[in-house]
Amino acid sequence: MTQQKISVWGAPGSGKTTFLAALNIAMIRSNLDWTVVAKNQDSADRLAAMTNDLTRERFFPKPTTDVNALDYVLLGPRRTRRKGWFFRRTTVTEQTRVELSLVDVPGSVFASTPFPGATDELPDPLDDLIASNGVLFLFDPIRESALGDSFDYFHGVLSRLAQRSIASGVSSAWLPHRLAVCITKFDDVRVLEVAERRGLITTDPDDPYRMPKVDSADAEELFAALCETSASGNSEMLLSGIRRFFRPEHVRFFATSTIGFHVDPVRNAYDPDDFQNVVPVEEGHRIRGPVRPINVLEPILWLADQLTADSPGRVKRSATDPRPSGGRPAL
Amino acid sequence: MSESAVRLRDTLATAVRALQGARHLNVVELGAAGVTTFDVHRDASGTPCAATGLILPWRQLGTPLERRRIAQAAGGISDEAVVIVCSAPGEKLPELAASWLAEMRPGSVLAHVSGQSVAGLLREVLTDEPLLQPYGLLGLTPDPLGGMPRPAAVTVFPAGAAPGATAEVVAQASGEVVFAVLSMTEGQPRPVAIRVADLPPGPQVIRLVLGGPGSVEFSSSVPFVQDDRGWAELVVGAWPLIGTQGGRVHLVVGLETCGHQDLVARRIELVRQVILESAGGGTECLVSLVPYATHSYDWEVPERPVHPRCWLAAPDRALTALDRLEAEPVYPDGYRDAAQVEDMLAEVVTRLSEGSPGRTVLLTVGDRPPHPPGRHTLLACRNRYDWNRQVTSLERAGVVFGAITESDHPIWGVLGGSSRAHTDGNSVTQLCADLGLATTGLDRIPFPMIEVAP
Repeated sequence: MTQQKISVWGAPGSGKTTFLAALNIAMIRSNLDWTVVAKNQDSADRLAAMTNDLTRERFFPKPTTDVNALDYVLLGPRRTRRKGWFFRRTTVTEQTRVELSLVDVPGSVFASTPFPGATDELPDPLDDLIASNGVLFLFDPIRESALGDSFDYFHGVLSRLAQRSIASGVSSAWLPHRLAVCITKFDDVRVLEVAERRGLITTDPDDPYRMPKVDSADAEELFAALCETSASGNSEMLLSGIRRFFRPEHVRFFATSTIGFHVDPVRNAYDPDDFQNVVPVEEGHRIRGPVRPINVLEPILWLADQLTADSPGRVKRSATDPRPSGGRPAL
Repeated sequence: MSESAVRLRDTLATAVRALQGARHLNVVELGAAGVTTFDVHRDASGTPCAATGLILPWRQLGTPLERRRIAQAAGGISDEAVVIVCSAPGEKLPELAASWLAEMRPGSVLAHVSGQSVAGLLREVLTDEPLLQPYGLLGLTPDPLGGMPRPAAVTVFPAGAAPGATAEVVAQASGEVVFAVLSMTEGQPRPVAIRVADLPPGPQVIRLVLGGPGSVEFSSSVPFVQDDRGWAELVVGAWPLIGTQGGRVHLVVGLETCGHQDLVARRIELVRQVILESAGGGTECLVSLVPYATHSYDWEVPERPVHPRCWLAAPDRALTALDRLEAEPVYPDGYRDAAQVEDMLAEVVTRLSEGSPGRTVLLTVGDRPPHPPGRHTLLACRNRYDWNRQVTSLERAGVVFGAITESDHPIWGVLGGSSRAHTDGNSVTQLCADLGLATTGLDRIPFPMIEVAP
């Protein structure tokens, strides 16, 4: 079986660590049959600690500054595929399994120019990206509007990825990866208002809180709009870089929030005048209320769907199919 | 003095005393050399003064032109009072002109005098006139309750005082000060005499002698000199201070009690300074203390509503409340980027709507901006108060705004609209003066401390 692997990628401070913790919470909150399983004790401890930070301590996990690899496996619903040829052909049922290689290193490793102190002994994050089929790119529009360095990280990595692909004999102009672009901090008033001004907000009729959301089909427009506010003016090139390196059908955009919107605990309702779930305090930022991740699980599921569809044999069930695993296999 | 001269002097004195407001008295002297007119009126201080007007040599008075000029000199056809004096009795032209004028102005008084200068008599009348309004000496008078001195004009010559009257005051100042005698006319006092003296330290007895209306002489151990500055220049800066002194002041203190412990302690100390200066500032001061902190957006930390620690309290009670507040542990620092300023303002608006004696000064001491009423990058006020509306309400109520802050946030430009000081404390004294809380601008008032000599 071909190994499916997703790497999380983003500029420093773009929320990679928080995203992982939020993913764990989102999976616990969802009724989908997905689980995050750590591949080693260190990763398990770190995930538990980060999840605890978000839910109990209500602080954002501190950005990781060491280079310890955090390795996880996403276990999804069981799927059925056919195996063998003609009379020897059989049907096998396997559990969906996607490696999540969150290389939790400072984003500066991804910088197009080598970061100070880089040595040969440090792991090359490109190895993980090369070995991945799916990439989850975190774009922090608030950070971008202040610093404007996303393009530096993005373009440097893609250029090096393309260089190594060509060296390994790949002749296509496209990179083979699936790319999920996650616009983070959708819960921030500045991001939400950009979406509102563009008329991109919808609500889910099944959502009891009627919280705003941006459909994936409209998230690219939101991404483009947010890139216009970049401090450097370079992030407008992010979109053209994505189009240049990835097949259009291999890319999807998501407006995400790791903590979600605040819900008034007394009225148990979303308040359009008071929805921010972050409180600035002396120590930094504290999470105001329960964490309800928005579009954190969805990009992972989309990538998993895409990757399993690429694997040998036909995928009979969507990764997002909420039916419990172990049911009757489809023929 | 001849009998006719005495009669004329009495006539002139009666006419001058009857002058009121802007009315004029025309004295027309018909003498041997010609016609001389005097325009008598009272200046802004009520002091009567005379100016020599027309001097017309005798010509041929038979022509219509000269008769018209003489008639004009006598006030024409106006209803101003006229005293016609023939100072060359028996001479043809003066007598003829006197009869013309008396005929033309039936209400006029006609007098004859011989061998007496009309100008001299008039000067004598003006100088000898008793005061119609009392005269006061401007200075700072001690507060009988032991507070700060109050600017006031001490009466030195009452109404009816005659020339030659004297008065003594005890003045105290260090350096050059202004002695200004004011006519206590209704409305704004008017300067009568202004002198400058460089007083040595310690009490100095100053003797004032009334020379007549508009004339006061000063004498003491130090020389008095005429001041070249005008009255307006002398009182500019001082008069606004004088205007804000006295009366009752309601000092409302909005105090931010969140943040670093040292900073909160510093703010409390500054408030203490302001209360102390206000208490001894020549005004009756009542203090309200309204501390505020941060809204709680943490369900584990209960919201602490804004509530005054004292309202319309005497300064000593306010200081006690402040001491208690200082002894309390600092409120857990919640929201970092804003505080309950809007809740404090709403509380003050509500309380003031129930009535506030005297002028109200709102002194806000803090740094953080208020929470907005709705969606913003800052979290909305939990009570959805709109600070802008609260400020407007207070402005309409005539509240004076002062602030002690280090913040450059625009809200502090509003809250410190009348005066703004920093937490280094150097400008707190100035702040109190600007807000009319204390007569700490005394050094800007160039008048001495005065008391009527026993």
